[in-house]
Amino acid sequence: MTSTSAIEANADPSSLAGVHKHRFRHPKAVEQNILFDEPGPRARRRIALFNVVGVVVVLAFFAWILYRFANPPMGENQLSWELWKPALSADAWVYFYLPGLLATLEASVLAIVGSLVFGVLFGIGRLLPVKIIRWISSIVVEFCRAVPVLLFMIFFWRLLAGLGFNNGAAFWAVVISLVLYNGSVVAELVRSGVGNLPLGQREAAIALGMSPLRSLISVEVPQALIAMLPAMITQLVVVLKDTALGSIITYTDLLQESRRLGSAHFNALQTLCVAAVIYFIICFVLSLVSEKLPQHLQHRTVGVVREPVQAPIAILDPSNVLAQERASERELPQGGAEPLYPDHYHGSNAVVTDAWRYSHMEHGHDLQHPDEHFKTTFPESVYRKRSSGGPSIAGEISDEEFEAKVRQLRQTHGGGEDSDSGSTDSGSETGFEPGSDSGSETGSDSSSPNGSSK
Amino acid sequence: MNRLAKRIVAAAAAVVSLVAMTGCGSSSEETSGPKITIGIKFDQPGVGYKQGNEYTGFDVDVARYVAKKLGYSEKQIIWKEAPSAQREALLQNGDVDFIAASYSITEDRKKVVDFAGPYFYAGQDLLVRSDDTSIKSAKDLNGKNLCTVSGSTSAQVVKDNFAKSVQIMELSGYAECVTALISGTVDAVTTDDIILAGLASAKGGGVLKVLGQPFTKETYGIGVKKGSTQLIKQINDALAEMVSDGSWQKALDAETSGTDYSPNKEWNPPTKFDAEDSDETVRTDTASAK
Amino acid sequence: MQAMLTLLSQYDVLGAFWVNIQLTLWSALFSLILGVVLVMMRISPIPSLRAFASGFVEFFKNMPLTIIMVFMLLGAFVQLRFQFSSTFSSNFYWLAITGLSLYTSVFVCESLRSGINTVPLGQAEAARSLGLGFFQTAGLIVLPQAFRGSVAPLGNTLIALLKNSTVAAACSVATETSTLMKTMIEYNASSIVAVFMIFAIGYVILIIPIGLLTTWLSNTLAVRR
Repeated sequence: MTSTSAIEANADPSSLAGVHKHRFRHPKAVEQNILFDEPGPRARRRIALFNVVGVVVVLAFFAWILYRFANPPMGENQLSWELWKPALSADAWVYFYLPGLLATLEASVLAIVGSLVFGVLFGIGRLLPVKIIRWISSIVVEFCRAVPVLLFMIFFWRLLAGLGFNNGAAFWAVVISLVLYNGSVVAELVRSGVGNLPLGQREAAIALGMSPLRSLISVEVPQALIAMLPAMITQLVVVLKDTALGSIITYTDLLQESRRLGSAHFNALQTLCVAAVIYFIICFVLSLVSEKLPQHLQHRTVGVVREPVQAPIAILDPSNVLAQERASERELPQGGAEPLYPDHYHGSNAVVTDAWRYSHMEHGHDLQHPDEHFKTTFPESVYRKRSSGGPSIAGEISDEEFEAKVRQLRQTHGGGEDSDSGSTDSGSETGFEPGSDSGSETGSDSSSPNGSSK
Repeated sequence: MNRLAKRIVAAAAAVVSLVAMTGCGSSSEETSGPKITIGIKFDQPGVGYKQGNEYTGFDVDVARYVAKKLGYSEKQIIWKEAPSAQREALLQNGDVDFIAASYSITEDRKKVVDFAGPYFYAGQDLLVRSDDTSIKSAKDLNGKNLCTVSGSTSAQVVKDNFAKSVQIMELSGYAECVTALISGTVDAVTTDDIILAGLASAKGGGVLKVLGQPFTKETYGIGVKKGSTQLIKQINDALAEMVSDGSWQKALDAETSGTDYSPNKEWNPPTKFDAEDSDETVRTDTASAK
Repeated sequence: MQAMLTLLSQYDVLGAFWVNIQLTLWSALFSLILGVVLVMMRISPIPSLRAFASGFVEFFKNMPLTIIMVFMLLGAFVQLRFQFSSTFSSNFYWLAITGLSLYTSVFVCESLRSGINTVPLGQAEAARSLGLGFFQTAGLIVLPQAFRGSVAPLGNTLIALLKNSTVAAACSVATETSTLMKTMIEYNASSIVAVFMIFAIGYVILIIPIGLLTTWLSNTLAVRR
């Protein structure tokens, strides 16, 4: 859910609500909005007026709340130091908040580690070529995602107790429930993360003699995990917030301890405020970290590290990953950081078949018909030369130059807006596969026949 | 594939050891000898109350005495909070060895847990604001709001017998009920007189008063897991000894000092510890109750 | 299976689910309204509103729902005396809806904002060059497209809301599923798995259609560009 705020924080890919600063001459216009005109003097006065009114309204609201707390219709002043002192005293921290916080963190850390293991196992399970494993993994993951965490907690609390776990039934119930739910989300992240890797990674691994499973475990999943790290930290925030449910099943976490403290001095509201502030600070810091992290991680993976993605929504639907992609892909039109690979571009040419292009068009990612596509993406000179198949002719450039050229063209492929680099008037028949040494046969016959037929 | 397998095993081992470490961390306070876990209230001044690392209250004194007779020193006791709604669950789960948490013996509860005792006879009463003169007895609660804690039956007793149109609010602790009472959200808090007296004195300042007209007879027993006949016998013996050697009276006096509360002399102290045999439980024919 | 049927005949499981569904529908409605207001505030020309909205979003995004619910009970009701009705039970019900709506509106706002990002700059620029003001641009051009672009995250939010409605238990709503499940387990400790499966399957049945519908809608409604 934080994907958009992440964008703002990065200030790199700008959104409609905050366009990049170099678009405006005015350095103060960083937060400038394109939904309304650059305000003129009159509009500026009006905005200033509304601004003042807005500030007054917001402040008045808070003032009213505070006033009501200080002067309730009946009873005592909720802001009095009498009530706040026991909620903030050293004893309160030593005996209540800190042990409670420790219990909360203990459950959270264990749950996030567990859900990582669960998520990786079932994420791989959903990618394996064995149908039965895929199905079992899918059912487990979808089930765990559909059942409310609170129901899991109550169930495991009573089940563990029934099985004879005398102490810590509540603790383990909290941990197991959080592992099941968040693990299933992580499984989805792993699956979509692997789906977003360039196919060349897998091809290279297989060319090196690895088995498909080995390739998954040693090459693809590790990179997917790095790419998904920000999303996982967001998940940690979810875990931390969900531990508060543990108080309903007597787990003495921060919330439960603060209510208990409140019982001692009849100031539950005040102690809850303190607990709320603690929860907020921790979650807020974690959210910030998950927003800042992508920049530092990009060089560790060829996958696209980005702001936390939505967990995909489609239940038991193989097009799941695409739905997720669609939910987060359209940040580009606003002009932001270009991901290394476009969302629907899975690496080498191997997957860019006509069928793929056709569905790409059907889904509205590309307005061009597949037949037209090749011609406009690559300047005619490229595929003409290629299709002639003959020995190279005058004006020959080196393979490196050619590859660089093609890569450059490839990157502008999505926009389809520029075809000004038509001066590329050379090519060697061997160099058409840019960058990828996959040597896969499908790679060449998916793209070149298309061109040669013209 | 071999190295891969090794790595997986290593990763699994790391996770398991991490889990084990954290697991150990949660059960701290290691001292020698066997432990006994006792469920008490943490939020009822005068009955079961946690202040820092100190546990006070009448229930706590009784539990402490019983534990001593069972052969556990003060250090071997692990106190555990037993909120009203979760007492049966805690016993069924085996989270606690026994519960002394203002636990009235009722037929419903006897279906799921067993009781030792009784060790105290309380009566359900009302706690109201001192300046509120409109409530003289439980009959005056019609159209008023009543607070109790979730899982407690006491508010239902009032609703069924005295005030059909009373509205009941359930919160998670009596202290929260007192907050609601002071703020005027509810007009009365109901539960056993000894608990109410403890709350009134803890709040101080004379803002709250107990009506002093108990309209039920609550029989406090010590809850144990269903079928623990041996434990019940041991606890009953300990309770009998506590009454006979005067510790019972001493504990009660200490815990209610400073309040003008005195328990019903007809009923207390208990003489027969036969919770498991007797049929007499909650008295709801309260027209005759004083 | 037999155990499940007996349990179903003994307890009003469907009624409990109905309570959760009602909680979800009301909260969905209110959080949608509030979410739209928030997102308008966040893209509005008035800095103080923008600051308030983003503060509001950050606050509720990083706050456990359980705490919000307890606050609705102890803060809003007991201290501030917010009253929706003179009957306690319906009061708690609406307090729970308020808490759920506040919490969920933040995620609606974020979903819509991600939807706004799918609208090309040119749309807003064209609207402005036609002379439309802020409300017209936002209301007629950008938000309708943004809605279509944010069906998937909104569907996610709805699923989360349905699951979160069980937390109404923390706000004294005693008729919803988690409370009923607790009671049922208490009195049927031996068939605990059957009790759990009843509720788990109930939620799976409720959530799968929402998921499928969302996927279908997001594919159908996606703006072709």
